[in-house]
Amino acid sequence: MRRALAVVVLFTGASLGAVEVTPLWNLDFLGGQHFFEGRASSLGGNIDVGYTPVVKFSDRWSLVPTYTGSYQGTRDVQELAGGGTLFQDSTAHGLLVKSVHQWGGRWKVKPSAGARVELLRETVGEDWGDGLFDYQKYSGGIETEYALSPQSGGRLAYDYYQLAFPNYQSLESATDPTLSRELAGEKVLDSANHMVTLGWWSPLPAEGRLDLTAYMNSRAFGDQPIVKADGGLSGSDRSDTTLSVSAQSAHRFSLGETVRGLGEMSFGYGSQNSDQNHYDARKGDFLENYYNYTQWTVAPRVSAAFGSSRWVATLGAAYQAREYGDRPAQDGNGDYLSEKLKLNVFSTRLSLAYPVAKNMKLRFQSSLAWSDSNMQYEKVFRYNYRIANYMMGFSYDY
Amino acid sequence: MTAAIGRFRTPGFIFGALAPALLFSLPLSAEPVVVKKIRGKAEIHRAKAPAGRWAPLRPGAPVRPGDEVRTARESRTELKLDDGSKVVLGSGSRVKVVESSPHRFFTLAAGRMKSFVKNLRPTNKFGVRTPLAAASVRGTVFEMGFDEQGNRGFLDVSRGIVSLNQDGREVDVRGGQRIDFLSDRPLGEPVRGRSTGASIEEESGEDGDRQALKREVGLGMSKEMVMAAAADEMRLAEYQEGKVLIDVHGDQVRLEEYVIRRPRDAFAAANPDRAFKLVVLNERDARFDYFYYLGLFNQDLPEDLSVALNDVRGKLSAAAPDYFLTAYEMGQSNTQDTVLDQATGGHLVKITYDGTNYCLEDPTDASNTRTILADDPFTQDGDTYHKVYDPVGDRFVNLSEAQFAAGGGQSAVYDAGTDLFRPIGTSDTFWRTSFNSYSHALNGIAKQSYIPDATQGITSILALDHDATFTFAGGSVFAVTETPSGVDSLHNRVTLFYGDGAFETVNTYIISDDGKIGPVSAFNGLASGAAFKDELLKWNYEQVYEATEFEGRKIDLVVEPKILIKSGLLR
Repeated sequence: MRRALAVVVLFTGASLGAVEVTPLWNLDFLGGQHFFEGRASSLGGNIDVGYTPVVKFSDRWSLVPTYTGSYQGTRDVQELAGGGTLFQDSTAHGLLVKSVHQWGGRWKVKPSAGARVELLRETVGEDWGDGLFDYQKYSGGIETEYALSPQSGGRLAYDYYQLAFPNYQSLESATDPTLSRELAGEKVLDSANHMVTLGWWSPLPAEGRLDLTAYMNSRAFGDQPIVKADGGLSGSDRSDTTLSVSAQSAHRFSLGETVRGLGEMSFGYGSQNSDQNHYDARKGDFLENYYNYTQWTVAPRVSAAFGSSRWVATLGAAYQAREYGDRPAQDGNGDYLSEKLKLNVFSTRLSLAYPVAKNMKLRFQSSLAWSDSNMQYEKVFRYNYRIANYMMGFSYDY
Repeated sequence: MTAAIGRFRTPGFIFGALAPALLFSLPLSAEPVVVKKIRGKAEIHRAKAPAGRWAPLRPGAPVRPGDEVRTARESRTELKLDDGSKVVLGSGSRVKVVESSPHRFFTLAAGRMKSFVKNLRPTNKFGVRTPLAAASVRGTVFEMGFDEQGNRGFLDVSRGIVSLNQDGREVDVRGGQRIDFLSDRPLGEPVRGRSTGASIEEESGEDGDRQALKREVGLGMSKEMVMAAAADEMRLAEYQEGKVLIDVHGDQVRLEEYVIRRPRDAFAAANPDRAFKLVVLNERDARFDYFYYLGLFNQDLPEDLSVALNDVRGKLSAAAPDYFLTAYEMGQSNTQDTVLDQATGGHLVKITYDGTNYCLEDPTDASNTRTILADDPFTQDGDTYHKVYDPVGDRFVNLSEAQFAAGGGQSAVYDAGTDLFRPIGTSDTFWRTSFNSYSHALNGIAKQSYIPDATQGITSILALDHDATFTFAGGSVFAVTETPSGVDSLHNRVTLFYGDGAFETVNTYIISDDGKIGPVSAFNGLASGAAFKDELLKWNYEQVYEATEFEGRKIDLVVEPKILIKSGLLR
């Protein structure tokens, strides 16, 4: 009975004494298909669920446990990197528990811990949990936030997380560990990560808002030896550092009495520095700093409602340019060129939403993406392709 | 989470937590208007207080007729009414309670206030007055604002109907409509839509609380996304090298393929710089199969391995190829059974065609030549057949008249000039590699082999059928070729029956990633190298090996053609 009471309180947001529970829900159900180079996938469905029963113990302390779950039967265009319909379907489940402590009205301290598992099926009929690229993530961290005002403030966070691919072991390592490849270990994809997050937000003139965020990640691989110039393996393991910086501004606008909307613009910069190299056995070439790249992103987006219509239309676009600092491009025969590998991806998305009930919207969205590269050798991985998708369904946001 | 549930589970604590709330709620409910929540800073000027004396406002405080409440910038205050209604004051607002029960009248001197009117009895009224206009309602939600400096205001109605009165003119504003009112203009007509600017909810109101919580959740999720992206990046890099697919039996196969230089095998120990190795590894639920091909060339391999491997299957050129195999070893296994093919004594054979005969020459020994009739017709049981020599595969094929007329029997050779495969012509010179020694063994048992025919004084084989001496297990071999899935399917079966009573069967399939056997039509008309390779990349090659020596077990291998294309073996 008492357990039932607790469950009722958690799901209904009832208040019990000093404890106030506010449930937040987010549910998306979208079905559709994608088209890769004109070939259509079978119809699939995507479900995303987010549930957070925020437990407020006092004005100074709240607990924010968040469950996120998803099933993806069709892929978003931005997930189809490489042009590959890599996986049949996938599901992910995560739990993040954050304890929010408010001090003096302006400071917040937020320790957190979380776990996430993502399961991916590459073939039809494969059992969940058997996926080669299934992964688990365990994280813990602390974040401090300072509010200059209700509309402006900053945050600084440190997180440690471990990524483990429990099913992945190179077949090569099971048979012949002397083939001199960087991915020949047993736990080559597993890594320990330290991440620092810096964030700032403030109002802009004309009811605008600015968000700045930077993530700095240091990653150590425990079982991925560095490849040497002769193709052999060194005694030390790979380590990477990544940086991701983004700036996003948002402005409300209205055009006369008929159009109301929100305009957003975001810019992003990312880089990866890795000490891992690659040895191309076919060509006998040692490719230093194989995984290093820099990346720029710009993404405008406009949402608008027209007149008395209850429809909201959103048109967004994103352009991403990635350049590998040392990895050479290849011609169609696989011969290395003097220029470095560049990859440009442009994507657009149009979505329509119509409220059919309180907090519930009917949604339709369609995306189109182009990927262009100076890499013409595509026998292993696609760099130049066109891809599109459409999805429709419902979303519930409370 | 645990702490919260723990609290709920303790009856004593529940009572302890509820008791103060119950006690404090009793006197509060007696007041028609009380302060429920304050965010930021808010003050109250009591009706009887001297002018200018503002006191800090606290949650739970009653707000009585004549009292005035004001909020500071970026602050918000929520007033709770005893009938369930509530009033939210936005940032920088000043509101006076004119009457609190049974009618509710407020005066908005500046700023914004949003009213959630509930359970209003028919005889009761709810109204908000600004210096310019007054709104009165029944059971609705509306927001009203007044700009003290600009001497103008607005009314946004979310639900229901609100009657707005300015200078005697009264306008009904319905849900979803808004109206602006100014000091120097008469009241206009309401229009569809909301007034510009953030509402109280967006500033800091009730939904603002929810939005703040959502933001808190969003901050955590954004970091989760960054971490998940790291996993994606690693996964994608690895995916370029291997894949999982379904084999022809419907089983899931994980596949890895490698090209290796300077292999450390004993076979290549003397000249590792001349050697390369292809490795294909297959893993299924309960089995592991692998394949390797170890090649040893006549000289050190170039930086670009494909330069050497491109010509392994022969070269159409006046000049001899720089690289050719001198030996190879090919192994297949299910970790218990093995198929081992070994060849040594590799050397080039120069082939020309005069329209009638093929001339085979040893470029290192001018005296070693052989002339072979390209087509040698014969009659059997009244029908005409053609014994055709295939110089590329170094074999003789017996064809019916119809098959011969259709151009069968001859392997095509790759013409780099046109990127097309075609038969050898009269002006061509073709180079291929012949081996002087070959052996084929199953589980270590020799099944067939050949060496140069010493009885003819042959030391270097040009054409197997003429120059080699074969040895078969039990002294003979008989081959049966079938198409078990029909002539339109890419499924072929070859069975060799040896004189010792043993057999070996190889089923070969061209299959899609989901294990479906490909149709012959998939490759119809694909003669050019590029188009052929593009089509081939959509398919996989599967070979299932059975033999008497395997005692019912099989060697079942799936190969992605990309390893052959990547290495240059397939052009």
